[in-house]
Amino acid sequence: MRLRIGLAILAAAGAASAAEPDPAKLAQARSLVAEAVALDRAEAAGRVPRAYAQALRENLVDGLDKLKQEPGLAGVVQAALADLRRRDTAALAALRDRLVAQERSHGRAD
Amino acid sequence: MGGLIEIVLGIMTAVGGFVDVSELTFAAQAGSRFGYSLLWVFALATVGIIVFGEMSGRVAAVARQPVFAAMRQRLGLGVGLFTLIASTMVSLVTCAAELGGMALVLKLAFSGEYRLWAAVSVVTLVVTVWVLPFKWIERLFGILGLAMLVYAAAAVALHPPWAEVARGLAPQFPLSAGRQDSLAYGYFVVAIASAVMFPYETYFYSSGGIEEHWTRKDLMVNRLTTGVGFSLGSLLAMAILIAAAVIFRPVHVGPQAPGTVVLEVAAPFGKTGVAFALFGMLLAFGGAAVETCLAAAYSVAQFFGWPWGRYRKPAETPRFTLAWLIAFLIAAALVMTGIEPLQLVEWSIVFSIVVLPLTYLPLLLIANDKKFMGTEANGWIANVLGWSFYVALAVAALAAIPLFVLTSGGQK
Repeated sequence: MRLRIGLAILAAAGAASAAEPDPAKLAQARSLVAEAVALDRAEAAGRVPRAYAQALRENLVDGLDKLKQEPGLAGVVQAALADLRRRDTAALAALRDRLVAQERSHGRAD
Repeated sequence: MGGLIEIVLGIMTAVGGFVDVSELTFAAQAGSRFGYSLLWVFALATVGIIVFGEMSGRVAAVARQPVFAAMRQRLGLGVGLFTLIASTMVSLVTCAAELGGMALVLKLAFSGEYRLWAAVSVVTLVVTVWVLPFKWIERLFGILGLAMLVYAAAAVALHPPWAEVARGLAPQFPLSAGRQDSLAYGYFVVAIASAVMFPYETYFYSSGGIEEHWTRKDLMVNRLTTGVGFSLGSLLAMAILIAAAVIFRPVHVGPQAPGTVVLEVAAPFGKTGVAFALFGMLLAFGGAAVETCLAAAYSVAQFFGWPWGRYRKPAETPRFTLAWLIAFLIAAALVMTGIEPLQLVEWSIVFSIVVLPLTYLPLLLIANDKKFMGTEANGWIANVLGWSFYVALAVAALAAIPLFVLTSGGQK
Protein backbone atom coordinates (compact mmCIF):
# COMPACT_ATOMS: atom_id res chain seq x y z
CA MET A 1 0.00 0.00 0.00
CA ARG A 2 2.76 2.43 0.99
CA LEU A 3 4.64 1.49 -2.16
CA ARG A 4 1.56 2.29 -4.30
CA ILE A 5 1.09 5.67 -2.57
CA GLY A 6 4.75 6.47 -3.07
CA LEU A 7 4.60 5.53 -6.73
CA ALA A 8 1.44 7.59 -7.20
CA ILE A 9 3.13 10.65 -5.65
CA LEU A 10 6.16 10.18 -7.88
CA ALA A 11 3.95 9.86 -10.97
CA ALA A 12 2.05 13.04 -10.02
CA ALA A 13 5.29 14.93 -9.50
CA GLY A 14 6.59 13.66 -12.82
CA ALA A 15 3.44 14.74 -14.60
CA ALA A 16 3.56 18.21 -13.03
CA SER A 17 7.19 18.79 -14.00
CA ALA A 18 6.54 17.45 -17.48
CA ALA A 19 3.87 20.17 -17.91
CA GLU A 20 6.37 22.96 -17.06
CA PRO A 21 8.08 24.23 -20.19
CA ASP A 22 11.83 24.71 -20.34
CA PRO A 23 12.47 28.48 -19.91
CA ALA A 24 14.63 28.63 -23.05
CA LYS A 25 11.91 26.97 -25.17
CA LEU A 26 9.26 29.20 -23.58
CA ALA A 27 11.36 32.24 -24.57
CA GLN A 28 11.72 30.94 -28.12
CA ALA A 29 7.97 30.34 -28.41
CA ARG A 30 7.22 33.82 -27.05
CA SER A 31 9.63 35.45 -29.48
CA LEU A 32 8.35 33.51 -32.49
CA VAL A 33 4.76 34.50 -31.69
CA ALA A 34 5.86 38.12 -31.14
CA GLU A 35 7.74 38.07 -34.45
CA ALA A 36 4.57 36.82 -36.17
CA VAL A 37 2.58 39.73 -34.70
CA ALA A 38 5.25 42.24 -35.78
CA LEU A 39 5.35 40.76 -39.27
CA ASP A 40 1.56 40.78 -39.67
CA ARG A 41 1.38 44.43 -38.62
CA ALA A 42 4.26 45.44 -40.93
CA GLU A 43 2.62 43.61 -43.83
CA ALA A 44 -0.80 45.14 -43.14
CA ALA A 45 0.84 48.60 -43.16
CA GLY A 46 2.42 47.83 -46.56
CA ARG A 47 5.95 48.17 -45.21
CA VAL A 48 7.37 44.81 -46.34
CA PRO A 49 7.38 43.04 -49.72
CA ARG A 50 5.15 39.99 -50.13
CA ALA A 51 8.03 37.57 -50.86
CA TYR A 52 9.79 38.67 -47.67
CA ALA A 53 6.61 38.30 -45.57
CA GLN A 54 5.86 34.85 -46.99
CA ALA A 55 9.40 33.55 -46.47
CA LEU A 56 9.67 34.95 -42.93
CA ARG A 57 6.26 33.49 -42.07
CA GLU A 58 7.48 30.07 -43.29
CA ASN A 59 10.54 30.41 -41.04
CA LEU A 60 8.32 31.25 -38.08
CA VAL A 61 6.05 28.26 -38.80
CA ASP A 62 9.12 25.99 -38.99
CA GLY A 63 10.40 27.37 -35.70
CA LEU A 64 7.05 26.85 -33.95
CA ASP A 65 6.69 23.36 -35.44
CA LYS A 66 9.94 22.34 -33.75
CA LEU A 67 8.47 23.38 -30.38
CA LYS A 68 5.25 21.34 -30.73
CA GLN A 69 6.65 18.41 -28.75
CA GLU A 70 8.01 20.53 -25.90
CA PRO A 71 6.37 19.76 -22.53
CA GLY A 72 3.94 22.49 -21.50
CA LEU A 73 4.01 24.18 -24.92
CA ALA A 74 2.05 21.85 -27.18
CA GLY A 75 -1.31 23.60 -26.70
CA VAL A 76 -0.04 27.15 -27.09
CA VAL A 77 2.12 26.26 -30.11
CA GLN A 78 -0.83 24.58 -31.87
CA ALA A 79 -2.94 27.68 -31.19
CA ALA A 80 -0.15 29.94 -32.50
CA LEU A 81 0.19 27.90 -35.69
CA ALA A 82 -3.56 28.05 -36.27
CA ASP A 83 -3.64 31.83 -35.66
CA LEU A 84 -0.61 32.32 -37.94
CA ARG A 85 -2.27 30.43 -40.78
CA ARG A 86 -5.51 32.42 -40.27
CA ARG A 87 -3.49 35.70 -39.97
CA ASP A 88 -5.38 36.43 -36.76
CA THR A 89 -3.04 39.12 -35.42
CA ALA A 90 -5.23 39.95 -32.40
CA ALA A 91 -5.25 36.31 -31.26
CA LEU A 92 -1.48 36.06 -31.79
CA ALA A 93 -0.94 39.23 -29.75
CA ALA A 94 -3.05 37.81 -26.93
CA LEU A 95 -1.02 34.57 -27.04
CA ARG A 96 2.20 36.58 -26.97
CA ASP A 97 1.04 38.48 -23.88
CA ARG A 98 0.07 35.21 -22.19
CA LEU A 99 3.55 33.79 -22.86
CA VAL A 100 5.20 36.97 -21.56
CA ALA A 101 3.15 36.69 -18.34
CA GLN A 102 4.17 33.04 -18.03
CA GLU A 103 7.86 33.96 -18.42
CA ARG A 104 7.54 36.70 -15.81
CA SER A 105 6.00 34.24 -13.36
CA HIS A 106 9.22 32.22 -13.83
CA GLY A 107 11.37 35.23 -12.91
CA ARG A 108 12.30 36.69 -16.29
CA ALA A 109 12.25 40.51 -16.13
CA ASP A 110 12.06 41.69 -19.78
CA MET B 1 46.16 61.30 -54.29
CA GLY B 2 46.48 57.57 -55.06
CA GLY B 3 47.43 56.93 -51.44
CA LEU B 4 44.40 58.85 -50.19
CA ILE B 5 42.10 56.83 -52.44
CA GLU B 6 43.65 53.61 -51.09
CA ILE B 7 43.03 54.75 -47.53
CA VAL B 8 39.42 55.77 -48.20
CA LEU B 9 38.70 52.48 -50.01
CA GLY B 10 40.35 50.54 -47.19
CA ILE B 11 38.19 52.31 -44.60
CA MET B 12 35.01 51.82 -46.63
CA THR B 13 35.86 48.12 -47.04
CA ALA B 14 36.42 47.78 -43.27
CA VAL B 15 33.07 49.46 -42.51
CA GLY B 16 31.05 47.44 -45.02
CA GLY B 17 32.72 44.21 -43.95
CA PHE B 18 32.47 44.69 -40.16
CA VAL B 19 28.99 43.32 -39.49
CA ASP B 20 28.48 39.63 -40.17
CA VAL B 21 25.61 37.27 -39.31
CA SER B 22 26.86 36.84 -35.71
CA GLU B 23 27.10 40.56 -34.95
CA LEU B 24 23.75 41.23 -36.60
CA THR B 25 22.00 38.51 -34.60
CA PHE B 26 23.62 39.27 -31.24
CA ALA B 27 23.27 43.03 -31.59
CA ALA B 28 19.54 42.65 -32.28
CA GLN B 29 19.02 40.13 -29.46
CA ALA B 30 21.04 42.27 -27.03
CA GLY B 31 18.98 45.36 -27.83
CA SER B 32 15.66 43.55 -27.63
CA ARG B 33 16.44 41.95 -24.25
CA PHE B 34 18.63 44.47 -22.44
CA GLY B 35 17.88 47.76 -24.19
CA TYR B 36 20.95 49.99 -24.53
CA SER B 37 22.84 48.53 -21.58
CA LEU B 38 25.20 46.38 -23.68
CA LEU B 39 26.43 49.15 -26.00
CA TRP B 40 29.59 49.50 -23.89
CA VAL B 41 30.61 45.95 -24.80
CA PHE B 42 30.58 46.81 -28.52
CA ALA B 43 32.62 49.94 -27.82
CA LEU B 44 35.17 48.16 -25.64
CA ALA B 45 35.50 45.10 -27.91
CA THR B 46 36.03 47.42 -30.89
CA VAL B 47 39.00 48.99 -29.11
CA GLY B 48 40.27 45.44 -28.64
CA ILE B 49 39.95 44.48 -32.30
CA ILE B 50 41.57 47.78 -33.33
CA VAL B 51 44.53 47.05 -31.02
CA PHE B 52 45.03 43.49 -32.27
CA GLY B 53 44.10 44.27 -35.87
CA GLU B 54 46.67 47.09 -36.02
CA MET B 55 49.25 44.81 -34.42
CA SER B 56 48.62 42.00 -36.92
CA GLY B 57 48.81 44.44 -39.87
CA ARG B 58 52.02 45.95 -38.48
CA VAL B 59 53.59 42.50 -38.02
CA ALA B 60 52.61 41.63 -41.61
CA ALA B 61 54.10 44.86 -42.98
CA VAL B 62 57.34 44.93 -40.97
CA ALA B 63 58.22 41.33 -40.07
CA ARG B 64 56.46 39.94 -43.16
CA GLN B 65 54.90 37.33 -40.88
CA PRO B 66 51.22 36.42 -40.90
CA VAL B 67 49.67 35.37 -37.57
CA PHE B 68 49.81 31.61 -38.04
CA ALA B 69 53.45 31.51 -39.05
CA ALA B 70 54.20 33.49 -35.87
CA MET B 71 52.02 31.11 -33.88
CA ARG B 72 53.97 28.01 -34.86
CA GLN B 73 57.26 29.72 -34.02
CA ARG B 74 56.16 31.02 -30.65
CA LEU B 75 53.87 28.31 -29.32
CA GLY B 76 55.69 25.28 -30.67
CA LEU B 77 54.25 22.38 -32.61
CA GLY B 78 51.91 20.88 -29.99
CA VAL B 79 50.06 23.99 -28.82
CA GLY B 80 50.29 25.48 -32.31
CA LEU B 81 48.65 22.40 -33.84
CA PHE B 82 45.87 22.43 -31.24
CA THR B 83 45.22 26.10 -32.02
CA LEU B 84 45.28 25.39 -35.75
CA ILE B 85 42.70 22.60 -35.45
CA ALA B 86 40.45 24.60 -33.09
CA SER B 87 40.61 27.82 -35.07
CA THR B 88 40.10 26.05 -38.41
CA MET B 89 36.99 24.34 -37.05
CA VAL B 90 35.69 27.68 -35.78
CA SER B 91 36.37 29.29 -39.18
CA LEU B 92 34.52 26.48 -40.98
CA VAL B 93 31.47 26.65 -38.68
CA THR B 94 31.44 30.44 -39.02
CA CYS B 95 31.69 30.14 -42.82
CA ALA B 96 28.71 27.77 -42.73
CA ALA B 97 26.74 30.26 -40.61
CA GLU B 98 27.47 33.04 -43.13
CA LEU B 99 26.49 30.80 -46.08
CA GLY B 100 23.29 29.88 -44.24
CA GLY B 101 22.67 33.58 -43.67
CA MET B 102 23.11 34.25 -47.41
CA ALA B 103 20.66 31.47 -48.29
CA LEU B 104 18.10 32.89 -45.81
CA VAL B 105 18.46 36.38 -47.29
CA LEU B 106 18.03 35.11 -50.85
CA LYS B 107 14.94 33.16 -49.79
CA LEU B 108 13.50 36.27 -48.12
CA ALA B 109 14.14 38.31 -51.27
CA PHE B 110 13.11 35.84 -53.98
CA SER B 111 11.30 32.92 -52.24
CA GLY B 112 12.46 29.41 -53.27
CA GLU B 113 14.26 26.62 -51.51
CA TYR B 114 16.80 27.38 -48.76
CA ARG B 115 19.21 24.58 -49.76
CA LEU B 116 19.08 25.63 -53.43
CA TRP B 117 20.01 29.19 -52.49
CA ALA B 118 22.83 27.84 -50.31
CA ALA B 119 24.20 25.95 -53.33
CA VAL B 120 23.89 29.06 -55.52
CA SER B 121 25.69 31.11 -52.85
CA VAL B 122 28.64 28.77 -52.50
CA VAL B 123 29.10 28.40 -56.27
CA THR B 124 28.99 32.19 -56.69
CA LEU B 125 31.56 32.69 -53.93
CA VAL B 126 33.91 30.03 -55.36
CA VAL B 127 33.78 31.66 -58.80
CA THR B 128 34.31 35.12 -57.28
CA VAL B 129 37.36 34.05 -55.28
CA TRP B 130 38.81 32.15 -58.27
CA VAL B 131 38.39 34.97 -60.75
CA LEU B 132 38.96 38.20 -58.84
CA PRO B 133 42.31 39.46 -57.55
CA PHE B 134 42.50 39.61 -53.75
CA LYS B 135 42.13 43.40 -53.44
CA TRP B 136 38.91 43.36 -55.46
CA ILE B 137 37.43 40.43 -53.55
CA GLU B 138 37.71 42.52 -50.37
CA ARG B 139 36.47 45.69 -51.99
CA LEU B 140 33.54 44.14 -53.84
CA PHE B 141 31.95 42.80 -50.67
CA GLY B 142 33.10 45.58 -48.36
CA ILE B 143 31.93 48.48 -50.51
CA LEU B 144 28.65 46.92 -51.66
CA GLY B 145 28.08 45.84 -48.05
CA LEU B 146 27.82 49.57 -47.22
CA ALA B 147 24.12 49.15 -48.06
CA MET B 148 23.98 47.98 -44.43
CA LEU B 149 24.23 51.67 -43.50
CA VAL B 150 20.42 51.64 -43.88
CA TYR B 151 20.43 50.22 -40.32
CA ALA B 152 22.34 53.27 -39.10
CA ALA B 153 19.85 55.52 -40.87
CA ALA B 154 16.99 53.54 -39.30
CA ALA B 155 18.45 53.91 -35.79
CA VAL B 156 18.52 57.70 -36.22
CA ALA B 157 15.08 57.86 -37.87
CA LEU B 158 13.51 55.92 -34.98
CA HIS B 159 14.42 58.74 -32.53
CA PRO B 160 15.82 56.63 -29.69
CA PRO B 161 16.24 58.29 -26.28
CA TRP B 162 19.80 59.51 -26.88
CA ALA B 163 20.50 60.17 -23.22
CA GLU B 164 19.75 56.52 -22.47
CA VAL B 165 21.86 55.44 -25.46
CA ALA B 166 24.77 57.48 -24.07
CA ARG B 167 24.34 55.86 -20.64
CA GLY B 168 24.58 52.46 -22.35
CA LEU B 169 28.16 53.29 -23.36
CA ALA B 170 29.31 53.24 -19.74
CA PRO B 171 30.41 49.80 -18.47
CA GLN B 172 27.66 48.45 -16.22
CA PHE B 173 26.14 45.31 -14.79
CA PRO B 174 22.46 44.85 -13.88
CA LEU B 175 22.95 44.45 -10.13
CA SER B 176 19.21 44.41 -9.39
CA ALA B 177 18.46 41.73 -11.99
CA GLY B 178 17.52 38.20 -10.98
CA ARG B 179 19.98 35.31 -11.22
CA GLN B 180 18.87 34.17 -14.68
CA ASP B 181 18.89 37.66 -16.19
CA SER B 182 22.35 38.28 -14.69
CA LEU B 183 23.70 35.08 -16.20
CA ALA B 184 22.14 35.94 -19.58
CA TYR B 185 23.67 39.44 -19.41
CA GLY B 186 27.07 37.84 -18.72
CA TYR B 187 26.60 35.52 -21.68
CA PHE B 188 25.81 38.45 -23.98
CA VAL B 189 28.92 40.30 -22.77
CA VAL B 190 31.07 37.30 -23.73
CA ALA B 191 29.19 36.63 -26.98
CA ILE B 192 29.39 40.23 -28.22
CA ALA B 193 33.12 40.40 -27.41
CA SER B 194 33.60 37.15 -29.31
CA ALA B 195 31.54 38.33 -32.32
CA VAL B 196 33.52 41.59 -32.58
CA MET B 197 36.94 39.99 -32.01
CA PHE B 198 36.55 36.79 -34.05
CA PRO B 199 39.99 35.21 -34.60
CA TYR B 200 39.42 34.84 -38.35
CA GLU B 201 39.49 38.63 -38.65
CA THR B 202 43.14 38.89 -37.60
CA TYR B 203 44.17 35.84 -39.64
CA PHE B 204 42.51 37.32 -42.72
CA TYR B 205 43.68 40.89 -42.07
CA SER B 206 47.34 39.95 -41.52
CA SER B 207 47.39 37.59 -44.49
CA GLY B 208 45.71 40.31 -46.54
CA GLY B 209 48.56 42.67 -45.65
CA ILE B 210 51.00 40.19 -47.16
CA GLU B 211 48.70 39.57 -50.15
CA GLU B 212 48.86 43.32 -50.82
CA HIS B 213 52.66 43.39 -50.30
CA TRP B 214 52.52 45.84 -47.42
CA THR B 215 55.77 47.39 -46.23
CA ARG B 216 56.64 50.00 -43.58
CA LYS B 217 55.26 52.63 -45.99
CA ASP B 218 51.78 51.12 -45.42
CA LEU B 219 51.78 51.45 -41.62
CA MET B 220 49.61 54.59 -41.78
CA VAL B 221 47.10 52.80 -44.07
CA ASN B 222 47.05 49.99 -41.50
CA ARG B 223 46.40 52.38 -38.59
CA LEU B 224 43.67 54.29 -40.41
CA THR B 225 41.95 51.17 -41.75
CA THR B 226 41.79 49.58 -38.33
CA GLY B 227 41.25 52.73 -36.28
CA VAL B 228 38.74 54.57 -38.45
CA GLY B 229 37.30 51.63 -40.42
CA PHE B 230 36.64 49.36 -37.45
CA SER B 231 35.26 52.25 -35.37
CA LEU B 232 32.75 53.20 -38.06
CA GLY B 233 31.88 49.53 -38.58
CA SER B 234 31.24 49.19 -34.87
CA LEU B 235 28.86 52.17 -34.97
CA LEU B 236 26.84 50.20 -37.52
CA ALA B 237 26.63 47.20 -35.19
CA MET B 238 25.60 49.52 -32.35
CA ALA B 239 22.91 51.03 -34.61
CA ILE B 240 21.40 47.56 -35.05
CA LEU B 241 21.28 47.19 -31.24
CA ILE B 242 19.72 50.64 -30.82
CA ALA B 243 17.04 49.99 -33.47
CA ALA B 244 16.23 46.63 -31.84
CA ALA B 245 15.80 48.32 -28.45
CA VAL B 246 13.30 50.77 -30.02
CA ILE B 247 11.39 48.36 -32.28
CA PHE B 248 11.61 44.91 -30.69
CA ARG B 249 11.90 45.41 -26.93
CA PRO B 250 8.45 46.94 -26.39
CA VAL B 251 6.77 44.09 -28.32
CA HIS B 252 8.81 41.23 -26.81
CA VAL B 253 10.53 40.15 -30.00
CA GLY B 254 13.91 38.46 -29.39
CA PRO B 255 14.87 37.87 -33.02
CA GLN B 256 15.25 34.17 -33.71
CA ALA B 257 16.45 34.65 -37.28
CA PRO B 258 18.40 37.26 -39.27
CA GLY B 259 15.28 37.79 -41.39
CA THR B 260 13.36 39.30 -38.47
CA VAL B 261 16.07 41.93 -37.90
CA VAL B 262 15.08 43.47 -41.25
CA LEU B 263 11.84 44.67 -39.60
CA GLU B 264 14.03 47.31 -37.89
CA VAL B 265 14.36 49.16 -41.20
CA ALA B 266 10.85 48.32 -42.44
CA ALA B 267 9.36 50.52 -39.71
CA PRO B 268 10.95 53.83 -40.83
CA PHE B 269 11.71 53.11 -44.51
CA GLY B 270 9.22 50.51 -45.73
CA LYS B 271 9.95 48.31 -48.76
CA THR B 272 12.88 50.44 -49.98
CA GLY B 273 14.58 50.02 -46.63
CA VAL B 274 13.94 46.26 -46.72
CA ALA B 275 15.55 46.04 -50.18
CA PHE B 276 18.66 47.92 -49.01
CA ALA B 277 18.89 45.81 -45.85
CA LEU B 278 18.59 42.49 -47.71
CA PHE B 279 21.15 43.55 -50.32
CA GLY B 280 23.56 44.79 -47.65
CA MET B 281 23.15 41.62 -45.58
CA LEU B 282 23.76 39.41 -48.63
CA LEU B 283 27.05 41.16 -49.38
CA ALA B 284 28.11 41.44 -45.73
CA PHE B 285 27.48 37.73 -45.09
CA GLY B 286 29.09 36.81 -48.43
CA GLY B 287 32.18 38.83 -47.57
CA ALA B 288 32.39 37.15 -44.18
CA ALA B 289 31.99 33.71 -45.79
CA VAL B 290 34.94 34.48 -48.09
CA GLU B 291 37.04 35.80 -45.20
CA THR B 292 36.40 32.78 -42.98
CA CYS B 293 37.04 30.35 -45.82
CA LEU B 294 40.32 32.03 -46.81
CA ALA B 295 41.28 32.44 -43.13
CA ALA B 296 40.99 28.66 -42.69
CA ALA B 297 43.10 28.06 -45.83
CA TYR B 298 45.70 30.71 -44.84
CA SER B 299 46.04 29.16 -41.37
CA VAL B 300 46.63 25.64 -42.67
CA ALA B 301 49.03 26.73 -45.42
CA GLN B 302 51.03 29.07 -43.16
CA PHE B 303 51.28 26.54 -40.36
CA PHE B 304 52.65 23.81 -42.67
CA GLY B 305 54.79 26.18 -44.70
CA TRP B 306 52.98 25.68 -48.03
CA PRO B 307 53.14 28.40 -50.70
CA TRP B 308 49.97 30.45 -50.32
CA GLY B 309 48.24 33.62 -51.49
CA ARG B 310 45.65 34.74 -54.00
CA TYR B 311 48.24 37.09 -55.50
CA ARG B 312 49.87 33.97 -56.95
CA LYS B 313 48.34 31.82 -59.67
CA PRO B 314 46.44 28.71 -58.42
CA ALA B 315 49.00 26.48 -60.17
CA GLU B 316 51.74 27.98 -57.94
CA THR B 317 49.75 27.28 -54.76
CA PRO B 318 47.97 23.97 -55.37
CA ARG B 319 47.60 22.91 -51.73
CA PHE B 320 46.43 26.36 -50.61
CA THR B 321 43.93 26.45 -53.50
CA LEU B 322 42.66 22.99 -52.61
CA ALA B 323 42.41 24.07 -48.94
CA TRP B 324 40.04 26.97 -49.62
CA LEU B 325 37.96 24.92 -52.07
CA ILE B 326 37.60 22.17 -49.45
CA ALA B 327 36.77 24.78 -46.79
CA PHE B 328 33.85 26.03 -48.92
CA LEU B 329 32.72 22.44 -49.55
CA ILE B 330 32.74 21.56 -45.83
CA ALA B 331 30.85 24.76 -44.96
CA ALA B 332 28.31 24.05 -47.71
CA ALA B 333 27.86 20.47 -46.46
CA LEU B 334 27.15 21.79 -42.95
CA VAL B 335 24.49 24.11 -44.34
CA MET B 336 22.92 21.28 -46.39
CA THR B 337 22.36 19.25 -43.19
CA GLY B 338 19.66 21.83 -42.41
CA ILE B 339 21.23 23.03 -39.14
CA GLU B 340 19.80 26.47 -38.41
CA PRO B 341 22.24 29.32 -39.14
CA LEU B 342 21.49 30.67 -35.64
CA GLN B 343 22.68 27.39 -34.11
CA LEU B 344 25.88 27.58 -36.14
CA VAL B 345 26.35 31.17 -35.00
CA GLU B 346 26.03 30.09 -31.33
CA TRP B 347 28.67 27.40 -31.71
CA SER B 348 31.09 29.63 -33.61
CA ILE B 349 30.72 32.42 -31.02
CA VAL B 350 31.35 30.19 -28.02
CA PHE B 351 34.26 28.24 -29.46
CA SER B 352 35.96 31.21 -31.05
CA ILE B 353 36.33 33.00 -27.71
CA VAL B 354 37.96 29.87 -26.32
CA VAL B 355 40.52 30.04 -29.17
CA LEU B 356 41.09 33.80 -28.96
CA PRO B 357 43.70 33.83 -26.17
CA LEU B 358 45.82 31.29 -28.08
CA THR B 359 45.55 33.44 -31.22
CA TYR B 360 46.52 36.73 -29.64
CA LEU B 361 49.39 35.49 -27.43
CA PRO B 362 51.91 34.87 -30.26
CA LEU B 363 50.79 38.10 -31.91
CA LEU B 364 51.57 40.05 -28.71
CA LEU B 365 54.93 38.31 -28.35
CA ILE B 366 56.03 38.92 -31.96
CA ALA B 367 54.75 42.52 -32.00
CA ASN B 368 56.90 43.16 -28.91
CA ASP B 369 60.01 41.49 -30.31
CA LYS B 370 62.52 44.15 -31.45
CA LYS B 371 64.49 41.48 -33.39
CA PHE B 372 61.51 41.17 -35.79
CA MET B 373 59.93 44.57 -35.49
CA GLY B 374 62.88 46.95 -34.98
CA THR B 375 61.65 50.46 -34.20
CA GLU B 376 58.06 49.38 -34.97
CA ALA B 377 57.79 47.06 -31.95
CA ASN B 378 54.89 47.76 -29.56
CA GLY B 379 55.06 51.02 -27.62
CA TRP B 380 53.79 51.19 -24.05
CA ILE B 381 50.21 52.07 -25.12
CA ALA B 382 49.92 49.04 -27.41
CA ASN B 383 51.38 46.85 -24.67
CA VAL B 384 49.13 48.12 -21.89
CA LEU B 385 46.03 47.81 -24.07
CA GLY B 386 47.12 44.53 -25.66
CA TRP B 387 47.87 42.75 -22.38
CA SER B 388 44.79 44.19 -20.63
CA PHE B 389 42.53 42.89 -23.38
CA TYR B 390 44.39 39.61 -23.36
CA VAL B 391 43.65 39.06 -19.66
CA ALA B 392 39.99 40.04 -20.18
CA LEU B 393 39.71 37.59 -23.10
CA ALA B 394 41.27 34.80 -21.04
CA VAL B 395 38.63 35.36 -18.33
CA ALA B 396 35.88 35.46 -20.96
CA ALA B 397 37.22 32.25 -22.51
CA LEU B 398 36.89 30.45 -19.16
CA ALA B 399 33.36 31.77 -18.62
CA ALA B 400 32.05 31.20 -22.15
CA ILE B 401 31.05 27.54 -22.07
CA PRO B 402 29.53 27.55 -18.55
CA LEU B 403 27.48 30.65 -19.41
CA PHE B 404 26.37 29.11 -22.72
CA VAL B 405 25.15 25.98 -20.91
CA LEU B 406 23.52 27.79 -17.96
CA THR B 407 21.58 30.19 -20.20
CA SER B 408 20.90 27.83 -23.14
CA GLY B 409 22.77 30.18 -25.42
CA GLY B 410 21.24 33.33 -23.92
CA GLN B 411 17.64 32.12 -24.38
CA LYS B 412 16.84 31.59 -20.67
